Amino acid sequence: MQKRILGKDLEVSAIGFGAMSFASTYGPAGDHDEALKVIRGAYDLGVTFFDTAEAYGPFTNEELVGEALQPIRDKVVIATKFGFDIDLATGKRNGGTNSRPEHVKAVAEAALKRLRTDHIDLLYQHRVDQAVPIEDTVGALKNLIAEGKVRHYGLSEAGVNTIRRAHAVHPMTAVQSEYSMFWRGPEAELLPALGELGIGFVPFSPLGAGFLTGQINENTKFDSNDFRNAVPRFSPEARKANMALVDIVKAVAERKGATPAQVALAWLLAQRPWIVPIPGTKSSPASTRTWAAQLSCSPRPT
Amino acid sequence: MLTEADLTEIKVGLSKIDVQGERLPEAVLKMTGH
Repeated sequence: MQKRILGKDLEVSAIGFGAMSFASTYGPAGDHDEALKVIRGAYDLGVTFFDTAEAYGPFTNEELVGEALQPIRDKVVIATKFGFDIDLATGKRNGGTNSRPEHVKAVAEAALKRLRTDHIDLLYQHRVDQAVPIEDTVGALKNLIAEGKVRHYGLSEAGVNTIRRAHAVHPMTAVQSEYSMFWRGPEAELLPALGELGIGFVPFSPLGAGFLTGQINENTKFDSNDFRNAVPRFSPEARKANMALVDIVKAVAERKGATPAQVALAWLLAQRPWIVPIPGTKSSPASTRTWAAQLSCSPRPT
Repeated sequence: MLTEADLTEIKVGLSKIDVQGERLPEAVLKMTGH
């Protein structure tokens, strides 16, 4: 698989692996040993960039990723996130956000243990905490970087003004937000700003939470715990209306002898050379193959 | 290989589609973009 650079110098596989799907987001988490196989199978297919978060579980997803990658820790890049108000001792979600500097430090220390590592390659703020100036939060991240516990930092789902303020305190490596043919919001302001600042972009849900794989239609029944039951664009009516989008992807895929997922990812990779999508799957290593074989493309330069 | 012609075809197709439904529940959306 090709490599890409996030920010100034963080080299990762052009397609990463989002591990959130193992945290009951898309229904039952599934078998632990099978999850280890899926994550390690992604590495065998060339993926070197793995994404998790404190909030997935909470905690359990970081533990899973840490266990899966421990044997190959020096060969992979691990990204995780802090920022929700979660009790560090019990895992109780208190609601809302918490990016107070002392909490950032405590979460990072706990994440290091769960991930079975002595450093986090990329640590994101999961959501901006409107009660804490971003300068204070980035100050805490800067300290963790100086201590060698964190190598790079980023923000997730942040606005452009916050990104600029944070980047002024310490150079940012990546922003993570949703982006795909299913949600093109970043194109208006975010992507131009990231290009200007030299910050990489990591789209989550690059396959539209599964919609762009062509495996979902208006008759699809999601598990009762699947978060898509609460998402407006996944209502049966919206799915029926949005099938025109899938038809476009399928038409190109059939002509290319590729899967719709490969086309959806290649389209993303073509938008900018510093975009690294992080699809995920929990079903099997074979499922990863439906997107890990990268379609080549010529990305726009800026 | 995804060619310029393919990308143009996709771009034209996307321009004709207005995706229906918000991408996240309202409460979650409120935590984004700050």
